[in-house]
Amino acid sequence: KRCCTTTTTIPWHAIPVLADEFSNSATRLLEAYAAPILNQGATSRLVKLMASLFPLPKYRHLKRVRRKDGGLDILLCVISELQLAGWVGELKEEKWDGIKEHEQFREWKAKERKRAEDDGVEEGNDDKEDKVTEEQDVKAAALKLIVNKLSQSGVSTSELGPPSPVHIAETAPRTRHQFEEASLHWPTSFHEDQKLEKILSDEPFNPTEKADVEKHMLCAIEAARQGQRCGFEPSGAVMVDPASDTVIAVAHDCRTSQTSLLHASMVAVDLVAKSHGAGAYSCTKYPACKFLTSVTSNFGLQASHLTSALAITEDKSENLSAPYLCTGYDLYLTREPCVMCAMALVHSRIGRVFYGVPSADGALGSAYKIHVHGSLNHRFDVYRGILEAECQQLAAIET
Amino acid sequence: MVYKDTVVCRGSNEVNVTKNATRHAELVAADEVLSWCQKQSLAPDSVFPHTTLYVTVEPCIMCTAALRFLRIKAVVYGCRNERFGGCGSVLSVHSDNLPNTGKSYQCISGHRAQEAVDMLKSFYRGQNPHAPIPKAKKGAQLEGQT
Ligand SMILES: [Zn+2]
Ligand SMILES: [Zn+2]
Repeated sequence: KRCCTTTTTIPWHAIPVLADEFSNSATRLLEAYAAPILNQGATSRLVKLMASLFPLPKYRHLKRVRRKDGGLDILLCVISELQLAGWVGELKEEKWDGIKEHEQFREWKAKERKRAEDDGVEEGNDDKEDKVTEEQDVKAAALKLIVNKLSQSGVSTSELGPPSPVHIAETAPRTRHQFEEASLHWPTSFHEDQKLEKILSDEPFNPTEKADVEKHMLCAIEAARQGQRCGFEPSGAVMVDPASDTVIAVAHDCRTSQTSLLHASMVAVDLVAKSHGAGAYSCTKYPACKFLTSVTSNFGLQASHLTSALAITEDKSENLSAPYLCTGYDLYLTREPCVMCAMALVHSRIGRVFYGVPSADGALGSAYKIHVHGSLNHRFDVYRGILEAECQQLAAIET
Repeated sequence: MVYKDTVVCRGSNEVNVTKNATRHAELVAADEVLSWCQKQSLAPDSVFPHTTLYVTVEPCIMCTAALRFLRIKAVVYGCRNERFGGCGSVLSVHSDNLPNTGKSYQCISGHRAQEAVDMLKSFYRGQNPHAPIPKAKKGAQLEGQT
């Protein structure tokens, strides 16, 4: 393993590149109604009743009852789940004023109207007013439906107080941060994913892991420099089997007018194929492009020395099983790969990708998040920010 | 690959023989155009903008991007690639605003789609007798690599 041994590096920080659903701002809120339980002895009966009056199968993460200010509130329903079409129409015909049946509703209506008037003065916008009225109609219709159902079921006003609007999280929280955010509005259940929280923490790697990551990225940076000396853009790649901390391939950008698709990642993938006696490109005439010979499988290594690609003998033994040769491997890239390279890594079943700096049109965080795309059949973890300053310097030389 | 009404080359999937999962038919064909350019002493930059790719299945995301880098004129394909397609099925890499990823291009889809689907069906039937048979709705289903 003759990789670089530079020791002084600028402090860096690995940042996980996650799917949007894990971001801190992913919590979407919906409107709902809740009411205070006035007779706490009736709580379990009310919970059962609500489960049949207003079932919430899509919102199993929500608690039905919350403790607030020493009392209990019960979640009645999520407004978007109610079948309101007929109710809104009925309300419109009554033109708001004809409704006399329920005191709670009248109080609420007066409050909403005042709020709408206040908003209207500020906004002075017809479209906005229409929208406010429409929202009001829906809320009013929902309340009317709720009150109607409750009184039909014999719920007395001595056991349940007047319903009031609340917000609930539309989906179950995925991270502790999202859980805390959702809980500000209405309590939810939360199953902490230890691995995810570790990734999200300030330091996802222990010192040994971090040293390994740094060592391999330094090697990628060195490859980028050597590629640059051969006249290529400074962009480096190192493929590593993390199970044995073995470098499988070292590559750099090899683009010429005749080989314009040989980005560093594409070269690295092909060098892994070469380590299995195959491969497609002959760009390996550059001394910095190296691969491990005699890799029999991703789990058992026969030999462990890097060789210049020129030394390889062609072994065209046909293997009809799909060549997912990068399964479980880590790829270190000085810069975020483009969409072609990112998809090449999906096809090769890469394990993890570590990169230094983001790139314009990059496909692992910038323009796309190929590694967590919902429709693709392979997903992988990505970290950015590895030796970011050093990788940034490489990019700066280029421009 | 057709350059100004001349078939320059044909490519087919070479993933297994190269053990390189990126050797899709499109990239194999693109490399052949590149070596043809060299033989003809033509600059690839002047050839690809007059070259159209005809391919049975919608190019995957990787190949769609590769063809952008090469500045291809257009792509004509048969059936859609619901699993990996980069020309509209999974992503629209051919037309998305990616100023650093070559040049966007036009895609024409659905030409002889049923034949493309039938070919895939019989291939996967031969490959794996237990494989689910792709549905032929709207000529748009694919399993596996292009
Ligand atoms: Zn690339
Ligand atoms: Zn492809």
